[in-house]
Amino acid sequence: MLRNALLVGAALAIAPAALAQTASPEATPEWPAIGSTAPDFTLPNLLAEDGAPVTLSEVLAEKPYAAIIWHSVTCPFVLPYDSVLPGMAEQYGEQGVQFIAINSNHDETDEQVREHLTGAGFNFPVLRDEGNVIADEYGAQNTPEVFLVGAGRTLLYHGQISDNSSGPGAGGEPTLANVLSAILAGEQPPVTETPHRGCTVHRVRGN
Amino acid sequence: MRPLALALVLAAASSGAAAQDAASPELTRLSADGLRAELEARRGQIVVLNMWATWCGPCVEEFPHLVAFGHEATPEAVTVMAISSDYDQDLESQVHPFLREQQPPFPVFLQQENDTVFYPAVDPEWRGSYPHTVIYNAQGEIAARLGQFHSPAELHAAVAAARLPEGR
Repeated sequence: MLRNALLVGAALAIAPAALAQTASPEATPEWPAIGSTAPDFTLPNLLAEDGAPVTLSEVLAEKPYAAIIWHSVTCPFVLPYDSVLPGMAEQYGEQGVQFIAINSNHDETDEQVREHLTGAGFNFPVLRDEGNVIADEYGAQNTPEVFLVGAGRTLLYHGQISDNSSGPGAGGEPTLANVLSAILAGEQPPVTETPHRGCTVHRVRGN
Repeated sequence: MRPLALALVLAAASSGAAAQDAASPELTRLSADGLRAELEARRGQIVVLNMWATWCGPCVEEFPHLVAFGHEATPEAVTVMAISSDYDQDLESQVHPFLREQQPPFPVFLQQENDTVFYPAVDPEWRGSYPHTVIYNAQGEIAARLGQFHSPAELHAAVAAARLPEGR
């Protein structure tokens, strides 16, 4: 059977003259620039018995760094990290990095998150971002998506936990670990911004 | 008409035969440099580039609208192309069946390199939210970025806006 070796139909198309609305090239959500001050937040900790809130600036008064990870308990790009993150949180926690997960997905209930992550042995705060307010302030788009901040809430790194371009999971280049190791060694991080393929943050509006 | 444009017109003309064959759509792997060359070759045209994957629910929802846009628009001065970020293990089970069903009247490529290398060629500001559609104007500049769209009309409007002289 002869198959079209070119592609399944190349096409050239022309748009109609009608102009209904414009789309802005600035539609990409804004996120803090590397080196700028990341927004502070106070959010309830779903894994604390009393739900006691966690405040970023207070965390940074006790530890030099905070790795803030937008999280989901349903996204296939996040789930494989559930077995990795507690170990990273413990390892780097001893060196001054507080791991913090934030769940902004409106369709994942508090109980669902608690049940899933308690079972996964999460040993760091998992915060509820009701109404995706903090996700909007950070411009967080995906799960997983990491913002690493240092003294004065300075944004040091924004991007992936690891390079999952070859498949969902915790494999690939361990980007965040590489960044943390460099910073803790007093060196420049190998990268400061990376793509972060994952699931869209399920915001209250749209999606 | 430039040679490349002519080649694409011929390819479009031959796509009907491919559809009649009901053959598995041919997916060409595209590198970042390859994409840059594709875009450069289309300078002077509006280009609608859709990044999608079958693992992305909203991408699967919007793809029929992209196909409809491709069918509605007449073949001149605008190029539609789609690039899948699917994984190799999903090609036979997910991607090819989906494309057989959709029969897109435009070329569909497969992202060849990892995101860190490939994404900047698509859009330096894109960080990985799917779907992501970029509309390049005739100068090869990004005129619009769209998240999930819900009708061909949204694309038509964005393309029409991209045709406007800068500043209007």
